[in-house]
Amino acid sequence: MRALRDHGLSLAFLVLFLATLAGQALVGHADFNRLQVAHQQDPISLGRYVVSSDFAVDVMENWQSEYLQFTLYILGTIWLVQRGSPESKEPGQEGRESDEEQQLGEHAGEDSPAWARAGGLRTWLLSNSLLLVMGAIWIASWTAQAVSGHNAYDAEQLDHAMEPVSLPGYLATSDFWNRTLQNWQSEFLAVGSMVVLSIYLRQRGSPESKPVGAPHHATSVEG
Amino acid sequence: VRAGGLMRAIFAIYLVVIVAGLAAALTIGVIGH
Repeated sequence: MRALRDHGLSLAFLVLFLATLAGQALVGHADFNRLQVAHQQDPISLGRYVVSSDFAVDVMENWQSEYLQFTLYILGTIWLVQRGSPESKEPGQEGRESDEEQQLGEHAGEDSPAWARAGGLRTWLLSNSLLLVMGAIWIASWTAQAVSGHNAYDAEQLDHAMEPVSLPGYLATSDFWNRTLQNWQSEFLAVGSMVVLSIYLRQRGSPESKPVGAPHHATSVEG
Repeated sequence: VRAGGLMRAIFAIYLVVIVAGLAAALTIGVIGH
C-alpha cells in the first residue's frame, strides 16, 4: 500500500483518464446515433464507433491542445517570468541557467542521471527531453486530429450531397480551425489564470500554490 | 516491488497509453475508417 500511496497522483489521473475516455465513448456513440437517425441512416454499434474517425477526431482535438499547452508552458517559463507567481522563476533568472545551477557535467551529483554528466548529444537530449517529448506528442496528436477530422468531414459532405475535400483542403476549412482554436483558447486562458491567480490566491498544502503566509510579491515559492 | 521499479512501470504505462492512442487515431485517420 505504501508503494501505491507514493504514486497516488499519477495513478489517480490514469484512472480518471480511462474512466472519462470510456464515458466519452458511451455518450459520443449515443450522440452519433441520434444524428444517424435524424438523417434516416442506420445506427452503428459501440465497437464500430470507437474505431471511427468521428471518435478519433473528438479525442485528438483535445489531446493536441493539452500537449500544446504544456509544451508552450515548459518553453515559456524558461524565458518569461511573472513576479509574485509560484509558477515562475525569480525575475533575473530568465534563460537556460548555468551548468552549475542545472547540475551538469562536473557539477553533476552522485545520484544525477548518467547523461547529465556525459556531455555532448546525450546531455543535450536529457536537458531538453521533456520539451521534445511533449512537443512530439502535440505534433502527432494534431496530425491525428487532421487526418481523422478530414475523414469525418468528408463523410458529412457526402451525406449532404456536397463535394469531399482533399487533406490540404481540409486544413483550410473552418471545421479544422474551429476544432483547433476552441481548444487552444481555453488552454491559454487556464494557464494564464494559474500564473496570475496564484499571485494573490492560495491553496494550503498544494505545491501549485505559495505557502498561505507567503507574501504576495514572493515569486518561485512553492507551498 | 522496489520504489524505483514501480516508478519506471508507471512511466512506461503512461508512454504506452499515449503512443497507443496516437497510433490508433493516426491509423483510423489514414485508412479512412
